[in-house]
Amino acid sequence: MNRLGILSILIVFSSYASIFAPMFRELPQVFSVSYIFGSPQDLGLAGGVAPMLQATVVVLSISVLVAASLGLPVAIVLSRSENVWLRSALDLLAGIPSIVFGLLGHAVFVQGLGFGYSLLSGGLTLACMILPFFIRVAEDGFRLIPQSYSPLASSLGFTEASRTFRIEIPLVMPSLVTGFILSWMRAAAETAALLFTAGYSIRPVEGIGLFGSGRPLSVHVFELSMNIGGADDMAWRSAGLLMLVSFSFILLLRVSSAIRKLRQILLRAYQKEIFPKNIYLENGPKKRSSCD
Amino acid sequence: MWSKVWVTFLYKIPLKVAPALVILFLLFGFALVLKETSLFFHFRSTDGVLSILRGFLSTEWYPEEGQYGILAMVLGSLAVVLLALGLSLPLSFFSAISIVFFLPRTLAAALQQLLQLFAGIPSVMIGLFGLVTLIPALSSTMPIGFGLASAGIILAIVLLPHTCIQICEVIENQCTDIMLSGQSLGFSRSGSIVRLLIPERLPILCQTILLAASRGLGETLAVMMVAGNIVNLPSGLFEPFRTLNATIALEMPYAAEAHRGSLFILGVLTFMLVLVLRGIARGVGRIRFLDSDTGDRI
Repeated sequence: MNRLGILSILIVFSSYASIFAPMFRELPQVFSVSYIFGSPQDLGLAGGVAPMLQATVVVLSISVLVAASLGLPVAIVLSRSENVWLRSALDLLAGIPSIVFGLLGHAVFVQGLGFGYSLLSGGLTLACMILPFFIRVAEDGFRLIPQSYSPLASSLGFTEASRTFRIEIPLVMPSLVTGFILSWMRAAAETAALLFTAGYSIRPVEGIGLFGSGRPLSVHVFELSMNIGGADDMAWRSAGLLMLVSFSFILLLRVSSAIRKLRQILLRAYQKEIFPKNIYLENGPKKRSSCD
Repeated sequence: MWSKVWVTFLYKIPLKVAPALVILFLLFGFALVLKETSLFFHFRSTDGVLSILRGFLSTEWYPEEGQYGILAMVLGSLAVVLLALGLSLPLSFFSAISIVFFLPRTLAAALQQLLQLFAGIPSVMIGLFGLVTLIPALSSTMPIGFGLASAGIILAIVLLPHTCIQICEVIENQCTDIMLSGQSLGFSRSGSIVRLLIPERLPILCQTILLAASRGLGETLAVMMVAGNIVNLPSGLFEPFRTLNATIALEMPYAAEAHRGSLFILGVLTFMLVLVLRGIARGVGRIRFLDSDTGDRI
Protein backbone atom coordinates (compact mmCIF):
# COMPACT_ATOMS: atom_id res chain seq x y z
CA MET A 1 0.00 0.00 0.00
CA ASN A 2 2.73 2.37 0.91
CA ARG A 3 4.74 1.46 -2.16
CA LEU A 4 1.82 2.48 -4.39
CA GLY A 5 1.55 5.68 -2.46
CA ILE A 6 5.20 6.53 -2.82
CA LEU A 7 5.04 5.75 -6.52
CA SER A 8 2.08 8.04 -7.01
CA ILE A 9 3.71 10.80 -4.98
CA LEU A 10 6.79 10.51 -7.17
CA ILE A 11 4.67 10.70 -10.33
CA VAL A 12 2.76 13.72 -9.07
CA PHE A 13 5.77 15.67 -7.92
CA SER A 14 7.86 14.88 -10.95
CA SER A 15 5.11 16.12 -13.24
CA TYR A 16 4.88 19.31 -11.27
CA ALA A 17 8.63 19.67 -11.29
CA SER A 18 8.57 19.46 -15.06
CA ILE A 19 5.97 22.20 -15.10
CA PHE A 20 8.08 24.44 -12.93
CA ALA A 21 11.34 23.73 -14.76
CA PRO A 22 10.82 26.00 -17.83
CA MET A 23 9.54 28.71 -15.54
CA PHE A 24 12.65 28.60 -13.40
CA ARG A 25 14.76 28.65 -16.50
CA GLU A 26 13.20 31.97 -17.53
CA LEU A 27 13.04 33.37 -14.03
CA PRO A 28 16.44 35.19 -14.08
CA GLN A 29 15.28 37.20 -17.07
CA VAL A 30 12.12 38.22 -15.25
CA PHE A 31 14.14 40.23 -12.80
CA SER A 32 15.42 42.73 -15.34
CA VAL A 33 14.24 46.33 -15.20
CA SER A 34 13.57 46.39 -18.91
CA TYR A 35 11.14 43.53 -18.50
CA ILE A 36 9.23 44.81 -15.52
CA PHE A 37 9.09 48.43 -16.59
CA GLY A 38 9.32 48.22 -20.36
CA SER A 39 6.53 48.18 -22.87
CA PRO A 40 5.81 45.18 -25.04
CA GLN A 41 7.00 45.18 -28.62
CA ASP A 42 6.01 42.93 -31.47
CA LEU A 43 2.71 42.12 -29.80
CA GLY A 44 4.61 40.77 -26.83
CA LEU A 45 7.29 38.76 -28.55
CA ALA A 46 9.91 41.10 -27.16
CA GLY A 47 10.19 43.93 -24.69
CA GLY A 48 8.61 44.23 -21.28
CA VAL A 49 5.27 43.67 -19.65
CA ALA A 50 4.79 46.91 -17.73
CA PRO A 51 1.16 47.55 -18.81
CA MET A 52 0.25 43.96 -18.08
CA LEU A 53 1.86 44.08 -14.67
CA GLN A 54 0.05 47.29 -13.83
CA ALA A 55 -3.22 45.85 -15.07
CA THR A 56 -2.66 42.73 -12.99
CA VAL A 57 -1.94 44.69 -9.83
CA VAL A 58 -4.91 46.99 -10.39
CA VAL A 59 -7.36 44.16 -11.07
CA LEU A 60 -6.09 42.08 -8.16
CA SER A 61 -6.23 45.00 -5.75
CA ILE A 62 -9.75 45.93 -6.75
CA SER A 63 -10.95 42.36 -6.46
CA VAL A 64 -9.35 41.61 -3.09
CA LEU A 65 -10.36 44.94 -1.55
CA VAL A 66 -13.96 44.67 -2.72
CA ALA A 67 -14.18 41.02 -1.69
CA ALA A 68 -12.73 41.77 1.75
CA SER A 69 -14.97 44.78 2.39
CA LEU A 70 -18.07 42.94 1.25
CA GLY A 71 -17.03 39.68 2.79
CA LEU A 72 -16.24 40.89 6.28
CA PRO A 73 -19.79 42.04 7.17
CA VAL A 74 -21.23 38.93 5.54
CA ALA A 75 -18.90 36.72 7.58
CA ILE A 76 -19.92 38.53 10.77
CA VAL A 77 -23.60 38.07 9.93
CA LEU A 78 -23.14 34.41 9.07
CA SER A 79 -21.14 33.63 12.17
CA ARG A 80 -23.88 35.00 14.39
CA SER A 81 -27.03 33.55 12.90
CA GLU A 82 -27.52 31.01 10.19
CA ASN A 83 -29.23 32.60 7.18
CA VAL A 84 -30.52 30.13 4.62
CA TRP A 85 -30.82 32.60 1.75
CA LEU A 86 -27.34 33.94 2.25
CA ARG A 87 -25.82 30.52 2.69
CA SER A 88 -27.38 29.11 -0.45
CA ALA A 89 -26.48 32.24 -2.41
CA LEU A 90 -22.85 31.82 -1.38
CA ASP A 91 -22.88 28.11 -2.19
CA LEU A 92 -24.29 28.94 -5.59
CA LEU A 93 -21.62 31.57 -6.18
CA ALA A 94 -18.90 29.17 -5.10
CA GLY A 95 -20.10 26.54 -7.55
CA ILE A 96 -20.18 28.65 -10.70
CA PRO A 97 -17.41 27.61 -13.10
CA SER A 98 -14.95 30.33 -13.94
CA ILE A 99 -15.94 30.86 -17.54
CA VAL A 100 -19.61 31.05 -16.67
CA PHE A 101 -18.55 33.64 -14.14
CA GLY A 102 -16.94 35.48 -17.02
CA LEU A 103 -20.26 35.45 -18.83
CA LEU A 104 -22.01 36.61 -15.67
CA GLY A 105 -19.52 39.41 -15.18
CA HIS A 106 -19.87 40.38 -18.81
CA ALA A 107 -23.63 40.54 -18.56
CA VAL A 108 -23.66 42.43 -15.28
CA PHE A 109 -20.64 44.73 -15.38
CA VAL A 110 -19.69 45.16 -19.00
CA GLN A 111 -23.20 45.49 -20.35
CA GLY A 112 -25.67 45.81 -17.50
CA LEU A 113 -23.90 48.50 -15.49
CA GLY A 114 -22.26 49.88 -18.59
CA PHE A 115 -18.64 49.76 -17.46
CA GLY A 116 -17.51 48.29 -20.75
CA TYR A 117 -14.37 46.23 -21.13
CA SER A 118 -12.45 47.69 -18.25
CA LEU A 119 -10.20 46.86 -15.37
CA LEU A 120 -13.09 47.77 -13.11
CA SER A 121 -15.37 45.11 -14.59
CA GLY A 122 -12.57 42.56 -14.38
CA GLY A 123 -11.83 43.46 -10.78
CA LEU A 124 -15.47 43.33 -9.73
CA THR A 125 -16.04 40.00 -11.47
CA LEU A 126 -13.00 38.54 -9.73
CA ALA A 127 -14.22 40.00 -6.44
CA CYS A 128 -17.48 38.10 -6.73
CA MET A 129 -15.54 35.02 -7.63
CA ILE A 130 -13.31 35.02 -4.57
CA LEU A 131 -16.03 36.29 -2.24
CA PRO A 132 -17.30 32.87 -1.08
CA PHE A 133 -13.74 31.80 -0.48
CA PHE A 134 -12.87 34.79 1.68
CA ILE A 135 -16.16 34.50 3.57
CA ARG A 136 -15.44 30.86 4.38
CA VAL A 137 -12.05 31.70 5.89
CA ALA A 138 -13.31 34.78 7.74
CA GLU A 139 -16.35 32.97 9.07
CA ASP A 140 -14.20 30.17 10.44
CA GLY A 141 -12.19 32.82 12.21
CA PHE A 142 -15.27 34.44 13.69
CA ARG A 143 -16.69 31.14 14.83
CA LEU A 144 -13.57 30.55 16.88
CA ILE A 145 -14.46 33.43 19.18
CA PRO A 146 -16.05 32.00 22.35
CA GLN A 147 -19.73 32.68 22.75
CA SER A 148 -19.16 33.99 26.23
CA TYR A 149 -17.42 37.09 24.89
CA SER A 150 -20.71 38.63 23.87
CA PRO A 151 -22.38 38.85 27.31
CA LEU A 152 -18.98 39.60 28.83
CA ALA A 153 -18.56 42.60 26.58
CA SER A 154 -22.08 43.88 27.28
CA SER A 155 -21.51 43.52 30.97
CA LEU A 156 -18.37 45.62 30.63
CA GLY A 157 -20.31 48.32 28.82
CA PHE A 158 -19.37 47.63 25.20
CA THR A 159 -21.96 48.28 22.57
CA GLU A 160 -22.35 45.72 19.84
CA ALA A 161 -20.44 47.89 17.40
CA SER A 162 -17.62 48.48 19.86
CA ARG A 163 -17.41 44.81 20.61
CA THR A 164 -17.10 44.01 16.92
CA PHE A 165 -14.54 46.61 16.11
CA ARG A 166 -12.41 46.53 19.23
CA ILE A 167 -12.58 42.93 20.38
CA GLU A 168 -13.65 40.58 17.63
CA ILE A 169 -11.81 42.01 14.65
CA PRO A 170 -8.41 42.17 16.35
CA LEU A 171 -8.95 38.58 17.49
CA VAL A 172 -9.84 37.47 13.99
CA MET A 173 -7.05 39.42 12.30
CA PRO A 174 -4.75 36.40 11.61
CA SER A 175 -7.60 34.59 9.87
CA LEU A 176 -8.41 37.71 7.90
CA VAL A 177 -4.83 38.09 6.79
CA THR A 178 -4.72 34.46 5.75
CA GLY A 179 -7.97 34.92 3.87
CA PHE A 180 -6.58 38.01 2.21
CA ILE A 181 -3.48 36.20 1.04
CA LEU A 182 -5.36 33.14 -0.18
CA SER A 183 -7.84 35.32 -2.04
CA TRP A 184 -4.97 37.20 -3.65
CA MET A 185 -3.44 33.94 -4.85
CA ARG A 186 -6.75 32.61 -6.08
CA ALA A 187 -7.52 35.82 -7.96
CA ALA A 188 -4.06 35.91 -9.52
CA ALA A 189 -4.56 32.44 -10.95
CA GLU A 190 -7.81 33.37 -12.64
CA THR A 191 -7.91 33.84 -16.38
CA ALA A 192 -11.17 32.66 -17.88
CA ALA A 193 -13.32 35.11 -15.97
CA LEU A 194 -11.17 38.02 -17.14
CA LEU A 195 -11.27 37.18 -20.82
CA PHE A 196 -14.60 38.82 -21.46
CA THR A 197 -14.49 41.48 -18.82
CA ALA A 198 -11.11 43.14 -18.80
CA GLY A 199 -10.26 43.09 -22.44
CA TYR A 200 -7.04 42.67 -24.36
CA SER A 201 -5.52 46.09 -24.72
CA ILE A 202 -1.82 46.53 -24.00
CA ARG A 203 -1.71 50.27 -23.62
CA PRO A 204 -0.22 51.48 -20.36
CA VAL A 205 -2.63 51.89 -17.50
CA GLU A 206 -1.80 55.53 -16.86
CA GLY A 207 -3.19 56.37 -20.22
CA ILE A 208 -6.50 54.68 -19.75
CA GLY A 209 -7.41 54.76 -16.09
CA LEU A 210 -9.77 52.46 -14.27
CA PHE A 211 -12.41 52.34 -16.96
CA GLY A 212 -10.07 51.42 -19.76
CA SER A 213 -9.32 47.95 -20.90
CA GLY A 214 -6.15 46.23 -19.89
CA ARG A 215 -4.61 42.83 -20.01
CA PRO A 216 -3.74 41.12 -16.76
CA LEU A 217 -0.74 38.82 -16.81
CA SER A 218 -2.72 35.58 -16.84
CA VAL A 219 -4.59 36.71 -19.97
CA HIS A 220 -1.23 37.74 -21.44
CA VAL A 221 0.20 34.28 -20.90
CA PHE A 222 -2.85 32.83 -22.60
CA GLU A 223 -2.55 35.20 -25.55
CA LEU A 224 1.14 34.54 -25.99
CA SER A 225 0.71 30.81 -25.96
CA MET A 226 -2.42 30.45 -28.07
CA ASN A 227 -2.68 33.32 -30.47
CA ILE A 228 0.91 34.32 -31.17
CA GLY A 229 3.31 31.81 -32.57
CA GLY A 230 6.77 31.17 -31.23
CA ALA A 231 6.35 33.17 -28.04
CA ASP A 232 6.81 30.31 -25.62
CA ASP A 233 9.79 31.77 -23.79
CA MET A 234 8.01 35.05 -23.25
CA ALA A 235 4.96 33.11 -22.10
CA TRP A 236 7.01 31.27 -19.48
CA ARG A 237 8.58 34.55 -18.41
CA SER A 238 5.17 36.14 -17.92
CA ALA A 239 4.01 33.05 -16.08
CA GLY A 240 7.03 33.38 -13.79
CA LEU A 241 6.18 37.01 -13.11
CA LEU A 242 2.59 36.03 -12.46
CA MET A 243 3.66 33.49 -9.87
CA LEU A 244 5.88 36.11 -8.25
CA VAL A 245 2.95 38.52 -8.07
CA SER A 246 0.69 35.87 -6.65
CA PHE A 247 3.20 34.93 -3.99
CA SER A 248 4.17 38.50 -3.21
CA PHE A 249 1.82 38.74 -0.25
CA ILE A 250 2.94 35.51 1.32
CA LEU A 251 6.54 36.54 0.85
CA LEU A 252 5.78 39.96 2.33
CA LEU A 253 4.18 38.35 5.35
CA ARG A 254 7.00 35.92 5.92
CA VAL A 255 9.63 38.60 5.46
CA SER A 256 7.87 41.01 7.83
CA SER A 257 7.48 38.37 10.55
CA ALA A 258 11.11 37.38 10.10
CA ILE A 259 12.17 41.02 10.42
CA ARG A 260 10.07 41.39 13.54
CA LYS A 261 11.65 38.34 15.13
CA LEU A 262 15.10 39.56 14.19
CA ARG A 263 14.38 42.92 15.81
CA GLN A 264 13.22 41.23 18.95
CA ILE A 265 16.34 39.12 19.16
CA LEU A 266 18.60 42.09 18.55
CA LEU A 267 16.77 44.19 21.12
CA ARG A 268 17.00 41.48 23.71
CA ALA A 269 20.70 41.00 23.07
CA TYR A 270 21.29 44.74 23.33
CA GLN A 271 19.42 44.98 26.59
CA LYS A 272 21.20 42.02 28.07
CA GLU A 273 24.53 43.54 27.25
CA ILE A 274 23.82 46.96 28.72
CA PHE A 275 21.84 45.88 31.75
CA PRO A 276 23.03 42.40 32.52
CA LYS A 277 21.80 42.34 36.07
CA ASN A 278 18.49 44.08 35.47
CA ILE A 279 16.07 41.65 36.96
CA TYR A 280 13.08 43.60 35.73
CA LEU A 281 13.95 42.45 32.27
CA GLU A 282 14.97 38.91 33.00
CA ASN A 283 12.97 37.54 35.88
CA GLY A 284 9.92 39.71 35.92
CA PRO A 285 9.05 42.31 38.54
CA LYS A 286 11.22 42.41 41.66
CA LYS A 287 9.86 40.68 44.69
CA ARG A 288 8.92 43.49 47.04
CA SER A 289 8.18 41.30 49.96
CA SER A 290 8.16 37.69 50.89
CA CYS A 291 4.55 37.25 49.97
CA ASP A 292 4.86 38.27 46.27
CA MET B 1 -22.08 61.16 21.34
CA TRP B 2 -21.88 62.06 17.65
CA SER B 3 -19.04 59.57 17.17
CA LYS B 4 -21.25 56.93 18.74
CA VAL B 5 -23.88 57.65 16.13
CA TRP B 6 -21.31 57.53 13.34
CA VAL B 7 -19.80 54.27 14.49
CA THR B 8 -23.17 52.67 14.93
CA PHE B 9 -24.09 53.53 11.38
CA LEU B 10 -20.72 52.36 10.14
CA TYR B 11 -21.60 49.09 11.75
CA LYS B 12 -25.31 48.60 11.30
CA ILE B 13 -25.56 49.66 7.67
CA PRO B 14 -22.78 47.44 6.25
CA LEU B 15 -24.11 44.52 8.22
CA LYS B 16 -27.46 44.83 6.50
CA VAL B 17 -26.27 46.06 3.13
CA ALA B 18 -23.49 43.59 2.37
CA PRO B 19 -25.56 40.39 2.42
CA ALA B 20 -28.27 42.16 0.48
CA LEU B 21 -25.70 43.19 -2.14
CA VAL B 22 -24.48 39.62 -2.53
CA ILE B 23 -27.98 38.26 -3.04
CA LEU B 24 -28.90 41.13 -5.32
CA PHE B 25 -25.81 40.56 -7.45
CA LEU B 26 -26.78 36.94 -7.87
CA LEU B 27 -30.36 37.73 -8.85
CA PHE B 28 -29.34 40.61 -11.08
CA GLY B 29 -26.66 38.50 -12.72
CA PHE B 30 -28.97 35.62 -13.46
CA ALA B 31 -31.61 37.94 -14.81
CA LEU B 32 -29.12 39.57 -17.18
CA VAL B 33 -27.72 36.23 -18.31
CA LEU B 34 -31.22 35.02 -19.04
CA LYS B 35 -31.83 38.20 -20.96
CA GLU B 36 -28.77 37.45 -23.07
CA THR B 37 -29.91 33.93 -23.70
CA SER B 38 -33.25 35.24 -24.90
CA LEU B 39 -31.30 36.83 -27.76
CA PHE B 40 -31.01 33.36 -29.16
CA PHE B 41 -34.73 32.85 -29.35
CA HIS B 42 -35.22 36.34 -30.64
CA PHE B 43 -33.05 36.03 -33.68
CA ARG B 44 -33.80 32.49 -34.62
CA SER B 45 -36.18 31.80 -37.43
CA THR B 46 -39.61 30.90 -36.16
CA ASP B 47 -39.08 27.28 -35.30
CA GLY B 48 -41.07 25.36 -32.79
CA VAL B 49 -39.60 24.54 -29.41
CA LEU B 50 -39.33 20.83 -30.21
CA SER B 51 -37.35 21.43 -33.37
CA ILE B 52 -34.99 23.74 -31.46
CA LEU B 53 -34.44 21.01 -28.89
CA ARG B 54 -33.85 18.43 -31.59
CA GLY B 55 -31.44 20.86 -33.21
CA PHE B 56 -29.51 21.04 -29.95
CA LEU B 57 -29.17 17.31 -29.82
CA SER B 58 -27.26 17.05 -33.07
CA THR B 59 -23.52 17.03 -33.43
CA GLU B 60 -23.29 19.77 -36.05
CA TRP B 61 -22.15 23.04 -34.56
CA TYR B 62 -22.16 25.63 -37.34
CA PRO B 63 -23.64 28.75 -35.74
CA GLU B 64 -23.25 30.89 -38.83
CA GLU B 65 -25.53 28.55 -40.71
CA GLY B 66 -27.98 28.20 -37.89
CA GLN B 67 -26.93 24.75 -36.71
CA TYR B 68 -26.53 24.59 -32.96
CA GLY B 69 -25.84 20.98 -32.20
CA ILE B 70 -24.09 20.70 -28.88
CA LEU B 71 -23.93 16.94 -28.52
CA ALA B 72 -20.31 16.67 -29.66
CA MET B 73 -19.18 19.27 -27.17
CA VAL B 74 -21.14 17.88 -24.24
CA LEU B 75 -19.70 14.44 -24.90
CA GLY B 76 -16.27 16.00 -25.23
CA SER B 77 -16.54 17.71 -21.85
CA LEU B 78 -17.79 14.56 -20.16
CA ALA B 79 -15.16 12.39 -21.80
CA VAL B 80 -12.25 14.60 -20.80
CA VAL B 81 -13.50 14.85 -17.21
CA LEU B 82 -13.90 11.07 -16.98
CA LEU B 83 -10.42 10.52 -18.33
CA ALA B 84 -8.91 13.12 -16.01
CA LEU B 85 -10.66 11.61 -13.00
CA GLY B 86 -9.49 8.16 -13.97
CA LEU B 87 -5.92 9.42 -14.07
CA SER B 88 -5.92 11.72 -11.07
CA LEU B 89 -8.07 9.82 -8.57
CA PRO B 90 -5.87 6.78 -8.02
CA LEU B 91 -2.79 8.99 -7.84
CA SER B 92 -4.26 11.41 -5.33
CA PHE B 93 -5.87 8.63 -3.30
CA PHE B 94 -2.71 6.63 -2.82
CA SER B 95 -0.63 9.75 -2.29
CA ALA B 96 -3.06 10.89 0.39
CA ILE B 97 -2.91 7.56 2.19
CA SER B 98 0.86 7.60 2.15
CA ILE B 99 1.04 11.18 3.33
CA VAL B 100 -1.44 10.74 6.16
CA PHE B 101 -0.41 7.35 7.49
CA PHE B 102 2.93 6.12 6.32
CA LEU B 103 5.39 8.87 5.66
CA PRO B 104 7.46 10.56 8.40
CA ARG B 105 5.61 13.55 9.81
CA THR B 106 8.04 16.24 8.68
CA LEU B 107 8.08 14.91 5.13
CA ALA B 108 4.30 14.65 5.18
CA ALA B 109 3.89 18.23 6.36
CA ALA B 110 6.34 19.45 3.72
CA LEU B 111 4.48 17.54 1.00
CA GLN B 112 1.18 18.99 2.11
CA GLN B 113 2.61 22.49 1.96
CA LEU B 114 3.95 21.77 -1.50
CA LEU B 115 0.55 20.51 -2.56
CA GLN B 116 -1.04 23.74 -1.35
CA LEU B 117 1.53 25.55 -3.43
CA PHE B 118 0.66 23.48 -6.49
CA ALA B 119 -3.02 24.12 -5.96
CA GLY B 120 -2.32 27.81 -6.38
CA ILE B 121 -0.72 27.49 -9.81
CA PRO B 122 -2.69 29.25 -12.54
CA SER B 123 -4.20 26.74 -14.90
CA VAL B 124 -2.81 28.70 -17.85
CA MET B 125 0.64 27.65 -16.73
CA ILE B 126 -0.38 24.02 -16.80
CA GLY B 127 -1.94 24.55 -20.22
CA LEU B 128 1.27 26.21 -21.34
CA PHE B 129 3.22 23.21 -20.13
CA GLY B 130 0.88 20.99 -22.12
CA LEU B 131 1.25 23.11 -25.23
CA VAL B 132 5.00 23.43 -25.07
CA THR B 133 6.17 20.17 -23.53
CA LEU B 134 3.48 17.53 -23.63
CA ILE B 135 2.21 17.94 -27.17
CA PRO B 136 5.58 17.85 -28.91
CA ALA B 137 6.43 14.81 -26.81
CA LEU B 138 3.23 13.10 -27.88
CA SER B 139 3.53 14.26 -31.48
CA SER B 140 6.81 12.44 -31.86
CA THR B 141 5.10 9.13 -31.25
CA MET B 142 1.49 9.69 -32.30
CA PRO B 143 0.30 11.44 -35.47
CA ILE B 144 -1.25 14.41 -33.66
CA GLY B 145 -0.45 15.46 -30.12
CA PHE B 146 -3.74 17.27 -29.50
CA GLY B 147 -6.65 15.20 -28.39
CA LEU B 148 -8.39 13.48 -25.54
CA ALA B 149 -5.24 11.89 -24.13
CA SER B 150 -3.27 15.09 -23.64
CA ALA B 151 -6.36 16.98 -22.50
CA GLY B 152 -7.07 14.26 -19.97
CA ILE B 153 -3.50 14.36 -18.69
CA ILE B 154 -3.54 18.15 -18.40
CA LEU B 155 -6.89 18.22 -16.64
CA ALA B 156 -5.67 15.50 -14.29
CA ILE B 157 -2.62 17.65 -13.45
CA VAL B 158 -4.92 20.60 -12.79
CA LEU B 159 -7.25 18.62 -10.55
CA LEU B 160 -4.61 16.61 -8.68
CA PRO B 161 -3.40 18.94 -5.90
CA HIS B 162 -6.80 20.11 -4.71
CA THR B 163 -8.21 16.58 -4.84
CA CYS B 164 -5.23 15.19 -2.95
CA ILE B 165 -5.57 17.83 -0.24
CA GLN B 166 -9.29 17.14 0.08
CA ILE B 167 -8.75 13.40 0.37
CA CYS B 168 -6.05 13.98 2.98
CA GLU B 169 -8.51 16.05 5.02
CA VAL B 170 -11.28 13.49 4.60
CA ILE B 171 -9.05 10.63 5.69
CA GLU B 172 -7.38 12.23 8.66
CA ASN B 173 -10.55 13.81 10.03
CA GLN B 174 -11.33 11.84 13.19
CA CYS B 175 -9.45 8.77 12.09
CA THR B 176 -7.88 8.01 15.46
CA ASP B 177 -10.93 6.14 16.75
CA ILE B 178 -11.04 3.82 13.80
CA MET B 179 -7.30 3.30 13.66
CA LEU B 180 -7.15 2.53 17.38
CA SER B 181 -10.05 0.10 17.10
CA GLY B 182 -8.32 -1.61 14.24
CA GLN B 183 -5.09 -1.80 16.16
CA SER B 184 -6.84 -3.26 19.17
CA LEU B 185 -8.52 -5.87 17.00
CA GLY B 186 -5.20 -6.92 15.56
CA PHE B 187 -5.42 -5.34 12.14
CA SER B 188 -2.23 -4.22 10.51
CA ARG B 189 -1.92 -0.56 9.65
CA SER B 190 -2.80 -1.00 6.01
CA GLY B 191 -5.45 -3.50 6.97
CA SER B 192 -7.26 -1.11 9.23
CA ILE B 193 -7.06 1.56 6.53
CA VAL B 194 -8.37 -0.65 3.76
CA ARG B 195 -10.95 -2.63 5.68
CA LEU B 196 -12.14 -0.20 8.34
CA LEU B 197 -11.43 3.40 7.42
CA ILE B 198 -12.12 3.43 3.70
CA PRO B 199 -15.48 1.63 3.87
CA GLU B 200 -16.59 4.04 6.54
CA ARG B 201 -15.45 7.05 4.57
CA LEU B 202 -16.78 5.80 1.25
CA PRO B 203 -19.70 8.26 0.96
CA ILE B 204 -17.50 11.26 1.69
CA LEU B 205 -14.88 9.98 -0.73
CA CYS B 206 -17.56 9.72 -3.39
CA GLN B 207 -18.56 13.26 -2.54
CA THR B 208 -14.98 14.38 -3.06
CA ILE B 209 -14.85 12.57 -6.39
CA LEU B 210 -18.05 14.23 -7.59
CA LEU B 211 -16.85 17.65 -6.46
CA ALA B 212 -13.59 17.08 -8.33
CA ALA B 213 -15.64 16.17 -11.39
CA SER B 214 -17.61 19.40 -11.07
CA ARG B 215 -14.39 21.36 -10.89
CA GLY B 216 -13.09 19.51 -13.91
CA LEU B 217 -16.22 20.45 -15.83
CA GLY B 218 -15.63 24.07 -14.97
CA GLU B 219 -12.00 24.15 -16.06
CA THR B 220 -11.65 25.88 -19.38
CA LEU B 221 -8.31 27.20 -20.46
CA ALA B 222 -5.91 24.39 -19.68
CA VAL B 223 -8.05 21.90 -21.58
CA MET B 224 -8.64 24.34 -24.41
CA MET B 225 -4.95 24.78 -25.04
CA VAL B 226 -4.32 21.11 -25.71
CA ALA B 227 -7.59 19.79 -27.08
CA GLY B 228 -7.40 20.81 -30.71
CA ASN B 229 -10.77 22.58 -30.69
CA ILE B 230 -12.39 21.00 -33.70
CA VAL B 231 -16.04 20.22 -33.14
CA ASN B 232 -16.06 16.47 -33.52
CA LEU B 233 -17.34 13.62 -31.51
CA PRO B 234 -14.40 12.52 -29.40
CA SER B 235 -13.72 9.39 -31.39
CA GLY B 236 -10.20 8.40 -30.53
CA LEU B 237 -7.69 9.24 -27.86
CA PHE B 238 -5.67 11.35 -30.27
CA GLU B 239 -8.40 13.06 -32.24
CA PRO B 240 -8.95 16.79 -31.69
CA PHE B 241 -12.22 17.65 -29.99
CA ARG B 242 -13.82 20.54 -28.19
CA THR B 243 -15.39 21.08 -24.79
CA LEU B 244 -18.36 23.28 -23.96
CA ASN B 245 -16.30 25.85 -22.13
CA ALA B 246 -13.79 26.06 -24.97
CA THR B 247 -16.59 26.97 -27.34
CA ILE B 248 -17.67 29.81 -25.09
CA ALA B 249 -14.13 31.09 -24.70
CA LEU B 250 -13.22 30.85 -28.36
CA GLU B 251 -16.35 32.17 -30.01
CA MET B 252 -17.40 34.88 -27.61
CA PRO B 253 -15.17 37.61 -29.11
CA TYR B 254 -16.87 37.51 -32.47
CA ALA B 255 -20.31 36.08 -31.79
CA ALA B 256 -23.27 37.81 -33.42
CA GLU B 257 -26.76 38.03 -31.99
CA ALA B 258 -28.23 34.54 -32.09
CA HIS B 259 -24.76 33.02 -31.80
CA ARG B 260 -24.15 35.11 -28.69
CA GLY B 261 -27.39 33.95 -27.17
CA SER B 262 -26.44 30.36 -27.89
CA LEU B 263 -23.10 30.86 -26.12
CA PHE B 264 -24.92 32.14 -23.06
CA ILE B 265 -27.17 29.11 -23.26
CA LEU B 266 -24.03 26.96 -23.28
CA GLY B 267 -22.86 28.77 -20.17
CA VAL B 268 -26.16 28.13 -18.43
CA LEU B 269 -25.94 24.48 -19.50
CA THR B 270 -22.46 24.11 -18.04
CA PHE B 271 -23.65 25.73 -14.85
CA MET B 272 -26.60 23.35 -14.66
CA LEU B 273 -24.31 20.36 -15.11
CA VAL B 274 -22.04 21.62 -12.33
CA LEU B 275 -25.03 22.29 -10.07
CA VAL B 276 -26.44 18.82 -10.66
CA LEU B 277 -23.08 17.24 -9.86
CA ARG B 278 -22.70 19.28 -6.71
CA GLY B 279 -26.25 18.46 -5.63
CA ILE B 280 -25.59 14.76 -6.13
CA ALA B 281 -22.33 15.15 -4.24
CA ARG B 282 -24.09 16.74 -1.31
CA GLY B 283 -26.71 13.99 -1.28
CA VAL B 284 -24.09 11.27 -1.46
CA GLY B 285 -22.14 12.86 1.35
CA ARG B 286 -25.12 12.50 3.63
CA ILE B 287 -25.25 8.72 3.36
CA ARG B 288 -24.34 6.99 6.58
CA PHE B 289 -23.66 3.33 6.87
CA LEU B 290 -24.13 3.18 10.59
CA ASP B 291 -26.96 4.66 12.58
CA SER B 292 -25.46 7.52 14.55
CA ASP B 293 -27.25 6.77 17.84
CA THR B 294 -27.16 3.04 18.18
CA GLY B 295 -24.28 2.09 15.92
CA ASP B 296 -26.39 -0.42 14.03
CA ARG B 297 -26.08 -1.03 10.33
CA ILE B 298 -28.69 0.99 8.43
